Formats: sequence, structure tokens, C-alpha cells
Amino acid sequence: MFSRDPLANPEPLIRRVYSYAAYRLGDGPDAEDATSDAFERALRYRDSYDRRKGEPTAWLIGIARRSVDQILADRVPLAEPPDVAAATDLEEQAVARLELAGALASLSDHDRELVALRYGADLSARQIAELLEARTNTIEVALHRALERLRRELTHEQSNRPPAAAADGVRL
Amino acid sequence: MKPFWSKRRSLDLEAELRSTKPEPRSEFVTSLSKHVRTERPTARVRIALAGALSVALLAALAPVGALGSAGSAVKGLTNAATRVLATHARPVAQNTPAANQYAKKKKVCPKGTKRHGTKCVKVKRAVKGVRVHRGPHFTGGKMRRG
Repeated sequence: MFSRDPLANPEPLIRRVYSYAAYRLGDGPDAEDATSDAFERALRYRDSYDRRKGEPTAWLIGIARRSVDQILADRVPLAEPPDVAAATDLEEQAVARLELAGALASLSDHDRELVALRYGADLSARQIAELLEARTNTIEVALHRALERLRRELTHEQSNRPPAAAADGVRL
Repeated sequence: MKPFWSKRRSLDLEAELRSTKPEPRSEFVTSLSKHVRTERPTARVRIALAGALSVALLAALAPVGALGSAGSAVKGLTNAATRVLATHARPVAQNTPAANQYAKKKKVCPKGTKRHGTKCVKVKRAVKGVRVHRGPHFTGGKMRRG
């Protein structure tokens, strides 16, 4: 009976939902709020889960999308994407994260959503297609283009970066 | 400092996106998973199970109880009726030595007749004629008289 419970093993699900939310909202309290809200909704609607329609992750990410959209709708829009600078005392990994966060923030909502679903929630292109009600091929092409834009943004960012900009953007 | 991305000629962005994936705080994961686990439907399932068992038990016992009650009622009614009839009906002895001694002689039907209820009726001629005409059964109807 409990094997049908989609929230039987919550820890990995929490991590995936959080990663998805953090890719869309930025690492921190907003992502935690979105994750908590998604799980509250999931607890409320756990009886409606039908495992024949997909895995618990896909079901949960579908719920999390609404939570993230809600937070994005309530959020005051930023004037410009946050600048991310290199800090001489940070490790390479941390710098990479900051630069990646800056580049992600510059992407469109749709591109960021795709990246979050693919690399944050670890959903396959097919699962994303089911979730967004699109064709798998369309999602694959859109993801490829989003990655290209992200790559361009990263290379553009490093060439235009001022030597000592503030590092208070989206935290990743 | 040299930019991070410029150090990697073959930029594997997908691998970077996976490896630098934001991870939640462990306290957050622990508290949320604890909340989810406490909200597991165990309590509700137990209550539902107890309710379902009670209903099933009642459903199983209700017909038995009803049948038992109905059965005892019928039995009581039968006993009462038997007692009433027994007080009003005369006892009739069926097989007594006297009855056997002076029993009515059984009427034997004469030849060419057969018993039909209490009377003896003649056997129809047509039946006899057909048998004579066609012959006995074992001849297959080939043997004829005369």
C-alpha cells in the first residue's frame, strides 16, 4: 500500500525540487519557500497521485512549478540581472557558480525553466515534454538553444566583467 | 585572476550545470522530510482500516443475526401451531392389528380392463388391434397373422 505513496522517500525528492526551484529563483529562502509550498500541496493532493501517469518526481515538479510561478509573480522585478564578479579569495568552484548564476539570471523565463527542469530536477526531455505538454523533439531543441544562449552569456560576461563588481546577485 | 570559464577550452556546460546544482541545507531537508513523514497517511490508514473492519464485521454478522432471529421465530410459530392442532385433532392410529385383520379386500380388475383410479376401465380395442396388425415387438413388424 505504501509503495504507492509518492512521498514515501521524501529526501531525494526534496533535493530535486529544491534544485529546480533554486535554478529558477536563486539559491536561498525563496527556493526553500517554494519547496516547502510544493510539499504542502503534495501532502494535500497525495491521494490524487496516479503512478500510471508518471514518477513521483515528475508529479512533484509539476506541483513545484506552480509554487515557483506564484513566488515569481509576487516578486518585485529586478531592474537588471545581478552582476557577478570574481573574488580573488574565492575558490574556482565558487566563482564558477557565481558566474553561472549571473548567466542564468540573464536567460528568459522559459529558458531558465527548461534548464531548471533538466539539470535541477533531473527530468528527461520526455518527462519535460509531458509536463509542458510539448513534443520531446521540441524540448530537446529548445534546451539546446537555451544552453547555447547560456554559453554565449558566460563568454560575454567574462569579457565585459568589471574588475571589482559586487557579488550580491543570485546565489548559487 | 583569469576568468573561470576561459580556463576550460572545451566547456562542458551540461556537466557544470549538474555538478554546481544548488543543494538545499541539510537542516532544511531534515525538517521538511520529518514533516512529510509525520504527515504520512499511517494514522488515517489505521483509522480507515479499523472502520472498514468494523463495517465488514457488521456486514458479515448482520445476516447471521437476522437469519437466527427469523429462524427462531419460525420455530416458535411452528411449535405453537403444532400444540394448537394437537389439542383439537383426534388421534388416528394407522397400523393396528385390527386394521390389518379386517382390511378392505383389494379389488382386482377383470381381464381386458385396467385400474384407473378407483375404477376399472376397459382397454381400448384400437390399441390391441394395432398390436395384432403390426405383430409383436421383436419381429420388427414383419410377421403378420394369416
